[in-house]
Amino acid sequence: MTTEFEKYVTDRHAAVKEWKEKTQGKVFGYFCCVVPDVILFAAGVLPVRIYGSTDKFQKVDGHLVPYGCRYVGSCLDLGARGVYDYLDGVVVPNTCDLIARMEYWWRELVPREKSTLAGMELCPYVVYINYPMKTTGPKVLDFYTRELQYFKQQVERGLRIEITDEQLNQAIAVYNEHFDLMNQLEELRKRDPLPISGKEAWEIEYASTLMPMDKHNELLKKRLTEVAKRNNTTPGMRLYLAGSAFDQVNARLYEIIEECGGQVVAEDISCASSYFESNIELDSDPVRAIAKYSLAVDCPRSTETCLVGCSHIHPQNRWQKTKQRIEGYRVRGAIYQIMNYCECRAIEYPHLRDNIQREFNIPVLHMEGDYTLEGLEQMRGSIEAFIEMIGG
Amino acid sequence: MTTQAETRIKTAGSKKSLQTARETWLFIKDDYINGHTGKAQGKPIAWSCAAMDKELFHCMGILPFFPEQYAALCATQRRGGSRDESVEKEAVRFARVAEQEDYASYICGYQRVSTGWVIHGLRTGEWQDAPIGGMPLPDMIVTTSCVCDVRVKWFEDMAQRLNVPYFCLDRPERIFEGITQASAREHEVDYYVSQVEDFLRFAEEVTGAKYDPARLNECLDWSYKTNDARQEILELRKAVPSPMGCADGFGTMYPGMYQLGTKRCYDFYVKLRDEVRERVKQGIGQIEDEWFRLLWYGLPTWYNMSIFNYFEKYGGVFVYEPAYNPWPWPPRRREDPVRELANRWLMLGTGVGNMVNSMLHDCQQYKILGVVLSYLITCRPIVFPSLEINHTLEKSLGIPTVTLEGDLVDERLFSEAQVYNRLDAFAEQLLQRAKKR
Repeated sequence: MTTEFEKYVTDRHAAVKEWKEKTQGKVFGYFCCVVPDVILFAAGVLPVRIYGSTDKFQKVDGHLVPYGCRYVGSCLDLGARGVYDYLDGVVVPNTCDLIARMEYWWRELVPREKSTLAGMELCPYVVYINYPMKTTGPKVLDFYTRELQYFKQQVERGLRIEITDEQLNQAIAVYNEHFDLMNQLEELRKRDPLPISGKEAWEIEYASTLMPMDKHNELLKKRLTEVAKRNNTTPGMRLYLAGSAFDQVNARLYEIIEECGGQVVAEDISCASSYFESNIELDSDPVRAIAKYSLAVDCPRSTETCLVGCSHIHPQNRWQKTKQRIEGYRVRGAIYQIMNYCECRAIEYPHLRDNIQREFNIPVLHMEGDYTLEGLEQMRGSIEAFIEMIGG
Repeated sequence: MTTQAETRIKTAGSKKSLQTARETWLFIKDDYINGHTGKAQGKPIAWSCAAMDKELFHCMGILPFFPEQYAALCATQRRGGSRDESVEKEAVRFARVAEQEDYASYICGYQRVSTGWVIHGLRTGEWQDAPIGGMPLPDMIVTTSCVCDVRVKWFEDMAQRLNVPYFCLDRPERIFEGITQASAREHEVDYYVSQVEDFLRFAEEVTGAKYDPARLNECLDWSYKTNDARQEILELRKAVPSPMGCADGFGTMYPGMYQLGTKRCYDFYVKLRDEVRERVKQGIGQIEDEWFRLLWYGLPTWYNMSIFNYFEKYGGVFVYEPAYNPWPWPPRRREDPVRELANRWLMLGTGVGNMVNSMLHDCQQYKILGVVLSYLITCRPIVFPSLEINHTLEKSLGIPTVTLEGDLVDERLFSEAQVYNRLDAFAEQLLQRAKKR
């Protein structure tokens, strides 16, 4: 039987369109984990993460150069082909060199009629968020709070609504419940023997980026109760998986790993895992609280710099988060699948690899991905050998 | 990605038209000598990058060095200063070191070369086994978030390897369609001001030097005068025949990019301006018989600057390169020089539309007949808009383009036969168009 989560994995577009048809609600697409989807949820909008597909590019070849992330190109191609026509708005954060440029290309290749007043587009179809590259330090929060206030205003204008503090606080409560539930799921994944496969955990996480969060919470509560009672265990070498944009295409790697005798128990996959590491602290200003939470999202592109007063101490933000993700999961190996041209991950990899080996005394396997099923299939041999090597 | 690891590419330096351009090397050499001497005397050294406010270093007596510029320098030199073409370029040697450490070959060549040199130095202790004796080692590493993601992650990574304090000056990434936009939003300006102020406190703590606004104003005075001189040069370069080409343009960018805010930088451009002015007055062009004019989009192939002279045999000259050039700044604001810096930088946008519109403007201003798109496989912010530029120039102005794949500093990605074959065909096309006019 297809579960509600699986419905979003197998045909997300149909599932979202069904929601839209039933509720007559608005749907906004967004790129990246840092986007404050909770503001959209508060506005009664369904925020859905934009993902790609394995389809051959049909519309973007004449616009995007081949030397860029294929995942982002695929998202745009689907947009240009009309697959995402059910979106009422698109949110583009400044989270990597290519994603930031989607502000231009989505406008150009997925055109909508513009309504302007005094030469200004008051409710743009594509909304840009200037996410700071440096996520800590004086005034960063002030700046980003202003950016999100502006974002909120654009959504309000676009939809002709007002998003009240009360609505924001209610939405924050739903999201915080979600983070708590996801943390409970993570605790179950620490168990040995393991009660849930990596693929199943990924499906739950992935679905949370496509369906209304309150509904996801409801389903997740039931699933957690069921998983906690499971007697059958999930076998496999316990592994940590890291890499770029694990949507339903790259998630095939979970299956390949399982078929090779491994089991992913922890990850850093630019899907939603960076989400539930902290709750949104309630504040008298909910937008500021959301900004603070969003800045804490662990994105490979972000940086933290040495602070005045302790300029000799390196924050090592990415390593600290990686360490937290691995600790307690009894991981015996780490696999990095970094997509071609994902430079932020590619540059930090040698440093993270050395630290993982030093701290946890486990081997690390590095593979370059190209966002194709064929490319993932080619990794099978290396993964098999890697798992055999660990098993001795 | 295919590389040509085993073949030796025939690459060479450019033939410059201007005497001042030929003297840039002395300017650079002096900086390295002063840097090594300064380091020995205990002067603070910073490693930084383009688009960082250089005046902030100069006003505090900090000597700045630039890994990207050093990587470019490594692209022009062979080991031990050898001129033997069978000896590989230093950039290739250090890029290999980085790749052996598992840095992907698609990462920016500047990153691979400078990181490779750092790894080599840390492993062997032989820092000076590199062109011009290497850069003096830093007391701090300072980057900015603008231009590209790589420079942030790369500098963070180098700082971790070298265990030196690291600072990122975060600049709001503004997106708009115009070429520049005079007014930034208030909170963007406030944020950048706070970033600069935080940096000044950081630099004081790391180096012990004191920030003095009067000294910053002095440096900014030199910067503004320099900027005016450089803009006059850009105006003069619109002349027909072209008095100063891209070989000279790229060849003289170092002082303005890296030593802005100093008197010697200003003196350099005054001399350059006077030389260009005189050539325009006398009607002296880069070549005797100028048939068509080209624009080079993107960054240069530092290992093969002779490419800028390639079209001369066809009567073609590169007259303009948008990279590294200044823009007209807002008026001086002595009572608040930090806010002035913020306003200056936040005039610029980084969107694709912004770059496409700049190209349309420049092609008309410089009477361009064809554009070479330096299709830098490893420099994504530069390469991303190239297809849009290609369509728009053809559609709006009927200007054809040709693309050249490669890296900034790693000549293994440069396919000599393919490149020259394409350039020959492009030259024929432009020549026919020029003759019809």
